[in-house]
Amino acid sequence: MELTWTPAPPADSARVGHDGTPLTDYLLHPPPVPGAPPLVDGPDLPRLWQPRRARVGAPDPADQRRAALRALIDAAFGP
Amino acid sequence: MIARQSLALFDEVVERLPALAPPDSLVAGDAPPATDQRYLSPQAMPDDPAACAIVAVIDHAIPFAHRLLTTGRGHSRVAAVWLQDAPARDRRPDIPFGQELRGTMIDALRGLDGTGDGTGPVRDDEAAYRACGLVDPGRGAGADLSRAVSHGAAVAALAAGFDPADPAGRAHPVIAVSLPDFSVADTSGSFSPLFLQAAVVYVVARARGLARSLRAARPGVRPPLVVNLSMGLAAGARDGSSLIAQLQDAIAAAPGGDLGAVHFVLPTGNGRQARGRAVLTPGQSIGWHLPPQDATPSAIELWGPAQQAPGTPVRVRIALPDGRAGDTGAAPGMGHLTDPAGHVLARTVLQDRAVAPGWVRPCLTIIVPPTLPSVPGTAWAPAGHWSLTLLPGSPQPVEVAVQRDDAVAGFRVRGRQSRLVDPASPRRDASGRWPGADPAPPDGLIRRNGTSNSYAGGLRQIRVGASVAVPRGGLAPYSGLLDDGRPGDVTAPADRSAAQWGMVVPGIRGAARTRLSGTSLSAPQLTRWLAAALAAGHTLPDRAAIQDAVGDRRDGATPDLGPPKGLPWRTGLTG
Repeated sequence: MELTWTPAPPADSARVGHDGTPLTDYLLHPPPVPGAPPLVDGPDLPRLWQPRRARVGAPDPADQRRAALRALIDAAFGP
Repeated sequence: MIARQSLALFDEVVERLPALAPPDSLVAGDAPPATDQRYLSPQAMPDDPAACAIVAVIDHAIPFAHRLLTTGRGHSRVAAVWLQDAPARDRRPDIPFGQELRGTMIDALRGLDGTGDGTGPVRDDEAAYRACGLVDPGRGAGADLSRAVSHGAAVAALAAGFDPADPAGRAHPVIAVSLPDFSVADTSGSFSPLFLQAAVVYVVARARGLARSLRAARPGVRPPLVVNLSMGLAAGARDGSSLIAQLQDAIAAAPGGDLGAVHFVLPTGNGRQARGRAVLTPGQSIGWHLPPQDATPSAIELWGPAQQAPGTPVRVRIALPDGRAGDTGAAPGMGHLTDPAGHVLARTVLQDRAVAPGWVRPCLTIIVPPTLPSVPGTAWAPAGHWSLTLLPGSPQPVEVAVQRDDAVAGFRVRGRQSRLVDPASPRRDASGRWPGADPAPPDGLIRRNGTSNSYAGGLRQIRVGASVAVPRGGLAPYSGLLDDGRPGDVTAPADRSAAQWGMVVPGIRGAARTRLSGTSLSAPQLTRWLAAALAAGHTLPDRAAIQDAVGDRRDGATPDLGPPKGLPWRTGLTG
């Protein structure tokens, strides 16, 4: 027995809860490596586009995306 | 409300979408409002709105201007398409990212909006894709229709492709959703539920809108809707409790006042021989092979049986290829298995997944970092033969499910598929053939029963397996099996025979063809058949009625659709 299992901080567990998807959470919040500097560009997400194409208009804030998704749900299931 | 619940679960993905999606696919503050709200040009409207069925296709890289999706004069039969990672060109109040096109907009892109001479399209399909930013080598990736073939091209053609001169095509208006590259490339499905759920909601919203426009021509019409989702996932609940299955079941059970019958058609998946399923009882061990040079994390789920909350914790001993081992704890939530230096070798998450009010299934998810991290300074784990031993006190039996982690054809290889290892479970039968359903009792820990697509775990979805054309009804060896060993509710051929792989399907442009295989191609064949049957007025409310209509199912046999008839190209399945 040379490996140790330790529970994560409650905040990390609460992030996933009983309904969350652990692998999605892992990709968004990968475990740190002792002694390694924090990632400059965030977690290693499966990004496929080229960063040099980033010069476009400022995107809507996330709240706009949430509002659009809610509007889509209303269009599908509303009266 | 299941849709809202899904969005809440993936709220962080919505928040951090700029880190995932192509920047130009996010709606910018200065995007002009979309003005065209019409669905189909009059030339593409069904002759008889009372005898039509809407076909929806949720897939990847769907060539929405393909000639098989047009009328004889070139007008689009695609009433609406949401390209989820295409450059956002305008703003609609209910499109959060990407680009939506309506049928009339596609026609305008091709010069069919009255600007031509009236004899046909002025511009070809590629010009339409180029105008939408979908043929742009400099873009890097995202909704790329510059390739020769795509999964979505094959599936859309099988589900709804008609010769433009065939008037039957107009009885099947199409609604499509092209899923993002970054979601499809990640075969573990980590982000896809957000985009899939949004796609299903979009399909229902636009189908309702299209139904209203059909009612303007024929009052009282409630067109049926058949949704094809040829996507699959290996691990996950297959008991109907996943939000994806719940949403589809809820819509199919109560389609609302605008639509007739709604069916969701999904493949059973291609994982029967993938050695990704097993059943353990306490004290039993199974090997877990993690391949080298895997740039993505590998995950495995251990599901206990349904029980009253709180669930009995699933606990395992995890042993590395070098023999070092550690036991997971009984505390619900997240934990980490670390070496003495503090390096995380596995993350564990113990959850009680709700399956019914007051009832849960305990689920332990083990996530192992990549064996070849793509960025320095990130966690990694050793490749090789790991071992999992179910500890005493755990519930029994425990279902083990390896999460999918391979690469889709056409994408850069990042993930490499892990698999289970059990010497008592033979890969081939005594004759050297691929084995079928599990014998009773099973001959090892690894199972072939229960290898079906976990997206298709609902109670109302129509699950389609792959057969071979010759001999008629023979089962393709890769086709996933339901828990009871059946190959699905219906099968349809995706291979000519066990020795002659695949079938001929259209590519992205014109007459381009390719040969593909898999249950992804079987599902749209049933979608096509079902849409035609519903348009003809047949009442097919559920699985049993559909099975009876497809064919003989005496002795519990799964009916086979047989080689498709009336396709506007030669499939190579027969002849």
